Amino acid sequence: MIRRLLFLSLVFLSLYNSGHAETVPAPDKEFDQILSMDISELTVTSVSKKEEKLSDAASAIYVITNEDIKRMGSTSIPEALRIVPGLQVAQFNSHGWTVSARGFNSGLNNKLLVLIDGRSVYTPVYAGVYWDDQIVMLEDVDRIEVIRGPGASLYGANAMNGVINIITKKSSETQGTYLAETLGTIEYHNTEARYGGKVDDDTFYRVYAKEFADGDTRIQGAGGQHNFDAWNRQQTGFRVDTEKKADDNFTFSGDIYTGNHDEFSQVQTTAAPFSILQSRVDEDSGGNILGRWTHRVSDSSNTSMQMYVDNYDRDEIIAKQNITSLDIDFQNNITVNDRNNFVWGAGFRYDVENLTGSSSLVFPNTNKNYDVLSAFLQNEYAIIPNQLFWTLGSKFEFNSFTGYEIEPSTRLAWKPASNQTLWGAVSRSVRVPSMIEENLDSLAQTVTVPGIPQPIAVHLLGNSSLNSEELISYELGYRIEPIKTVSLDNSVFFNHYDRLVNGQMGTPFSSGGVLDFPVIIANGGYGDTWGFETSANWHVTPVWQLTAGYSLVKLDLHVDNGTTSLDTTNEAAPQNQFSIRSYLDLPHNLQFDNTLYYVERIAMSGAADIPSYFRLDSRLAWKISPGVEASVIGRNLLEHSHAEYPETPITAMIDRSFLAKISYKF
Amino acid sequence: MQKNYKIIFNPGMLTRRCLALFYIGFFCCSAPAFAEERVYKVEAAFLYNFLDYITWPPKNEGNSGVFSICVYGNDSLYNSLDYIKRKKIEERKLDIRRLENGKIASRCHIIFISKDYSGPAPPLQSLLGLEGALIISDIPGFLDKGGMIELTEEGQRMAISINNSLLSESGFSVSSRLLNIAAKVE
Repeated sequence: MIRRLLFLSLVFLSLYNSGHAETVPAPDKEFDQILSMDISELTVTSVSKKEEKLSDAASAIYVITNEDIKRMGSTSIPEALRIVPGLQVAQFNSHGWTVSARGFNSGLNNKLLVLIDGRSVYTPVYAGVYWDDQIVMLEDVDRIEVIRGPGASLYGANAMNGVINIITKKSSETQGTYLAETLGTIEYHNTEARYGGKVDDDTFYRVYAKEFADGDTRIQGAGGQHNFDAWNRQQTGFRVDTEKKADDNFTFSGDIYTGNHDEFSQVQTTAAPFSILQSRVDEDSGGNILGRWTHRVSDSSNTSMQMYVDNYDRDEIIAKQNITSLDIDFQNNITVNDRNNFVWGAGFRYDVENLTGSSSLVFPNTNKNYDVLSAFLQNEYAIIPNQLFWTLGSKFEFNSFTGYEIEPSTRLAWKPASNQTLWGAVSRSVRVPSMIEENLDSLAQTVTVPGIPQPIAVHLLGNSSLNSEELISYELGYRIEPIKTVSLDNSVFFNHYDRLVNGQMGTPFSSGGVLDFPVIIANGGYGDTWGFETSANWHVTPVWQLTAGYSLVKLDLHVDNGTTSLDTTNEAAPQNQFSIRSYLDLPHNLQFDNTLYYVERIAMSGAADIPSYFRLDSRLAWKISPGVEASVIGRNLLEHSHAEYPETPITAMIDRSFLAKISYKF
Repeated sequence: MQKNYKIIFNPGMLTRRCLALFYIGFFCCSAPAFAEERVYKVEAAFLYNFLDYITWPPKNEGNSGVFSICVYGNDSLYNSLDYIKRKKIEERKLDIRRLENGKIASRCHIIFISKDYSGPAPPLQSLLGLEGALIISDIPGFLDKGGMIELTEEGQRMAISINNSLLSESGFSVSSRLLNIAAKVE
């Protein structure tokens, strides 16, 4: 009897419970507030923040997604950039890469602006990027946008040949814990940890730590002998994002890092033997802190303001550099009468340099600081709404080095059908001289020439009246999605350069037993480059995706009389490059991904020839469970080793290598 | 609750313990913490609001006033719609149906395809062929692909894009109030 009662009461209880739950949901204050709002309060009447569809952009833009970075097995940003047609990526030692767009891939390559979440990582010291100081948690990168061609009005000076924008995910998109460990034959180990949480319904954060150590490359032509270029990094950082109901967004982030890199350097002297190979373990460190505020002014306008402070310190044999930069930027975006999208902004940047030289590299003007004031405006006018757009804009800068710079640009985009875009652009762009081009006294080389009694010491001297390099660029592009599963993107460019930096030969004079031969940095180069980039994407089947890319760069550069040559031959940059990439989803949660690259030879004057090479990278991954993934990656599978870039004193050989990775998300 | 339980019977120690666990278990699961993301709540609110601003073709008016919302989406979206259904039960009867594996259901008043839906989406052409079904999505470019209404997330709000000519052809009638606040009307 009791048992039956028990059973009935249980049934009664359960029925009572379920019925009750059905009619009274647990209160949700946020949801109730949303439901109480009038529909107009939840709507925007115009899309003011011009987040253009990629297929509508009037520039040669290529996007590397988070999935691409993972499936190509990239463990660093430069490695992920190899896939982009129009970029030349070459690894020249274990911790060094040269990345350039549309030619000009000298080690001091300086015509590409690189940003991480809006923070410039381009150093004003030598006008390039120390890629080994740009470490990010690749898992939390949302995408890398690469624009080949002048960054035009929006990016200003130093975005001459292109812009690379590394964008990380918002904190709300990186919630929970992520742990990963990678072990490898050359990249010995890489440990990553990230935790994302929320302070309240509107405030999200993440913290991360990353630590890795990579081994040496080997020396070309030295029978397998190891180079001295191993390196390691330890880095930690955070990010906080707030989205308040009053349409304000705040982002606050920071990173700090330390590490070492082994260095082999050829130090020049004026006495025999004239150059000594020295080695040292160098210390690197740095950090940054950034804040950004985005505010919706109205349905048709929003503004954003950003400020950051960045510092890096690199201690190498011939010089020590410690640079602190402060950058403040403001931008306002307004949609006027539905057909005009107007963007304008202003910015200020201040670089404090602290450069210490050595006997062979002197910085005559110590602690010179550098500031840039800039403003820009741009309007995109819809001549025919949704079909024909004309953009006109310009960036204006005043910098403490070259004074006023103006960079106007105009673009036209035509969509004859919803699946095609044809665009064209003409832009003027400049590259402002770097600190060392202005402030330098470096012993480049001491040589003995038969017939001349004294050794000749070639000194490279900075020039404080150096002008900016100038580029006028003409571009044309065509994008089409002929069928749902295929998309093609093509662009062609013609660039006319003037005032390219090279050296002006001075008058030799006797000094302390040597013949001092000064070469003063000057703007003696000019000429044209042209080329073409194409990429195709094909979803062959729902589980198989193919991507192919091809690029061509031709150079026709000259120098004024009495000035030193640039690397002007066609072979100074790889003329032809192509890549084919395959993503294949297999049963049992397996992924098999392969990328094949072809890079044509490089022949630079006075340096070793780098032959053409094919490179195959492969990855096999297994999603063991929803949060756990294991993968093995093989790099350079086709050859035991190859060189990618001629470097002094040592050209490094990049070897075939393997990695094994396990990651855990919860 | 507790009171009812005590009145019914007086169980022994063991059974009381078992029941207690059962009881707690039930309560814990029937009243979950509502942790869904805001965007799904806003989308669900829009779908609910559309019922007031759009008139369905006469022969497809809800039978006995029940409006059927069929959704290809994730748990969060379904939970948000379910919340509205239970909250607004006095004002309007809703039937929320979650469609899996690209299955096509007939007699849906609204069909919503979420861009976060991880399964195979049914071909748009088949959905457009269903009479009296309003096809809405937040997939970018949905209107270009032939959809009826597209929602675009813009910060804390959404932009509505309406293919009014398609809606008229299909027998729907959109209130001018909605057309006025829409970001794009074709």
